[in-house]
Amino acid sequence: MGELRSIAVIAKGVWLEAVRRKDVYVLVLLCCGLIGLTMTVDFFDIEGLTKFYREIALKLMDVSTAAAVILLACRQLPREFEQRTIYPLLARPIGRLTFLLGKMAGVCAAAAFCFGLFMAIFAAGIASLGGGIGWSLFLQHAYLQMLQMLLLTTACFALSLACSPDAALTLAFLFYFTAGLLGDLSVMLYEVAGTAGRAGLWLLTYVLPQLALFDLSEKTVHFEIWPALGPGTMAALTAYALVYSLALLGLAHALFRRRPL
Amino acid sequence: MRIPAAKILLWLSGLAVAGWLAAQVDPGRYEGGRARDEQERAQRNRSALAVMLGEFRTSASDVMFIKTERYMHGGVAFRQGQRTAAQGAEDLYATEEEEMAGHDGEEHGHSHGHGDDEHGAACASHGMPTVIPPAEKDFRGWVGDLYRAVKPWRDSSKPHIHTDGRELLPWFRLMTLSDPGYIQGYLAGGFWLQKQGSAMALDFIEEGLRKNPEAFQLHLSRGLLRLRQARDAEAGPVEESARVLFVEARDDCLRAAELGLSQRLAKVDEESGTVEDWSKYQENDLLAACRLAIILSERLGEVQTAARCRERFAALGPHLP
Amino acid sequence: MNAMIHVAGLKVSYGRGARRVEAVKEVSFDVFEGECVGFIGANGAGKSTTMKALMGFLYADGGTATVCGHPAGAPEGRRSVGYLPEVAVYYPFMKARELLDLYGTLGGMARRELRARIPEVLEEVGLPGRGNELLRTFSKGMQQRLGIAQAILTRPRLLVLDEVSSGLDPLGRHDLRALLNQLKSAGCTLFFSSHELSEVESLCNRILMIDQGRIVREITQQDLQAIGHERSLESFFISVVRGEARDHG
Repeated sequence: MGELRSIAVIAKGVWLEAVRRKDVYVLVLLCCGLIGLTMTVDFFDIEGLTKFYREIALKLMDVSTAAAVILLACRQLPREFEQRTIYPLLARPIGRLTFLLGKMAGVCAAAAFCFGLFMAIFAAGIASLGGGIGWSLFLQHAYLQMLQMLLLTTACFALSLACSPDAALTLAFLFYFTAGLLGDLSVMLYEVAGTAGRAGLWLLTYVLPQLALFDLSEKTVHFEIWPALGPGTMAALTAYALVYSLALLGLAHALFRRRPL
Repeated sequence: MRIPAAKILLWLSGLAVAGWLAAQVDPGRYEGGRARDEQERAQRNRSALAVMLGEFRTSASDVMFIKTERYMHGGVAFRQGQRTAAQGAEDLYATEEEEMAGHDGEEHGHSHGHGDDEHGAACASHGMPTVIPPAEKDFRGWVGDLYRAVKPWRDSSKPHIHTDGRELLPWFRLMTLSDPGYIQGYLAGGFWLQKQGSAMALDFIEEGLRKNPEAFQLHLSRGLLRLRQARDAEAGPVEESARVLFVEARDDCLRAAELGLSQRLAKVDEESGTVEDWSKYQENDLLAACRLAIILSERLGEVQTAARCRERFAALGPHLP
Repeated sequence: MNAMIHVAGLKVSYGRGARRVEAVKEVSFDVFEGECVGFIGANGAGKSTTMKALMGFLYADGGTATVCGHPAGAPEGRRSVGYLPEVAVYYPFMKARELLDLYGTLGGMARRELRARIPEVLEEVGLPGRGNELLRTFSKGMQQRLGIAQAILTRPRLLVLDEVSSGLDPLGRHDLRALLNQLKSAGCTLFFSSHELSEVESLCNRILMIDQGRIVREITQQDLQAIGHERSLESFFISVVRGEARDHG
């Protein structure tokens, strides 16, 4: 109970940071601005073209949330080291793992807050356009996005402990933006690769977390066609995210556990 | 991670400047518009800024075109490497031309435009491999299974899903705004737009023609649209307006044929006699333009014009009526 | 007497291989319950490194260190310790009350207890009624006062204060001295470093002088009185450090 309370209170600090520093609002405003800008284009005066809105809005929501998570997660620990705010925190009777878990939980809470704001804006936008939302797919998409953010958060923490803050940021953004390509490219490359290349691609598939698996936006856009994912798939995806997140958390903890401060 | 207001302002100003620059650099500033051939592109681009931002805008159009193909198939991604976006566009357009020619009672007796119910086997992507392979061809095992469950995927050997083409229209609007020289965007967009009303499609094609007056396929497209309007008008009480439209359609087809022919001639290699850098879609369009110019002239009773056309376009081979 | 801090042969170094620097070389000392021990030395002498090793921020290459009977760095030991870092910067996006709430909760205090304790501790350090102000508006001196507040928040049995009077104006130093005296009278064990030697002299029962990673002098109350007859602690410190430097050279 004491550990959970410590994790919660550290997470609250990160959440406060995200909310008070207004980065989230800047992202939301930019996002809304971009969606609004797209909506001002005259699409031949044809009404009810909501698929396009769904596509643009979902993509912007997902990317903005990921950007917020990467910016927040990659800088959490380096800033604690740099500004020495970590000392009074770790001078309390808490372990370093509790500290890490608290920080990660805080980033995830900030991501959920950010995504919640976006969801509200998205739903309002759809309502104003008179279109529908495939609620089951949309909620599954939101849930999978949260799992993706969990994976991204743990990856960012591990990266920020393994390399410099700037390198961690760059790698995290690269990792996120190439995640969609990774799956597609590996299949195509496998056909032309030699034995070593194939082994490398196989390894890459299983070692790197496949972030693209948590992007259900395409089906959410075409919700009229696709049914919601089955419980088996959802459970498998949840297990996948948890296993990889735990592995990344373990890596981050191994790097942080004996690190001189 | 504190972002001061000054930094945000700087970012926003940067975005505004980038937007302004992008607007300044019209891909049309490439001499002759969009250049697909690398060598040709290098020769045509004189401004470094045009190279950077112009290319960005043309690439954005390509990406948007791929998007329309995915929309068409309910989000299922087919491998683009085996069929370029431009080919895809021409493919879409080719179906339109064939459809119109088919209505005209010519040898193209079947219709297979995207979105038609009987589309199935005739779909351009039918049998094309999907980006996510079927389980037996996927080395990724259970990860591949998850991909197939999460992403829009269907076995490509089975009939495809096809969505309402209406939802593609915003993409055609954006891709032609991004690259006004993207003729295929106007052609394919016009095809889908005519289902909403031929006047709207005509406006769109005319916008394309204002920006690309030398694009013979756009002239042909306008001719086909006018032909459709003429047919509709024929059924109405005032036949005179139908005749005006038939004349306009014929003129468009004639103009398309003339332009296409001269463009094709310019691509003939003098030594080998072969036509270089000229796709089968362009050839089909040119043939269609010539055929329609002849047929419509005959239909309007202008036998001499039809004969002149036959003579003028004889070089294209034995397919003319 | 019960040793609140026990250090024996402690060695701490930074870096690896050729860039390895031994910051603390076989330091041994004890701080007993109820004592007020000053830890003085020139910049880079090893004061902060020793304190960080005691808190578990740095790991020892050799020797042992225990705090409140637990190995240095163990959460159980830190339960009874209040720590003020050398440079105190606190989350600028938080309010003073929120920051103390965070540290108090992590220190195991109950919510109700904290609600009563926060205004009290703010008053003790001279920041009454400032609980709802954002820390980005705090001056350096106010941040240092807040640092002291967070260190004494949970009423620890042992206070480890690194550069305790750094950034404080004369009035702040005066208030701090009064506060430390009050804590000392209440039975709190104090182990602190400072460059304000007059402050150390007036507060401490015992002074540990460190130079180049070694304890070079242990000065008791009697020694202090003897020194006081002839010269100040400052001139004594300078002569020791210079002399030691010659010895090491």
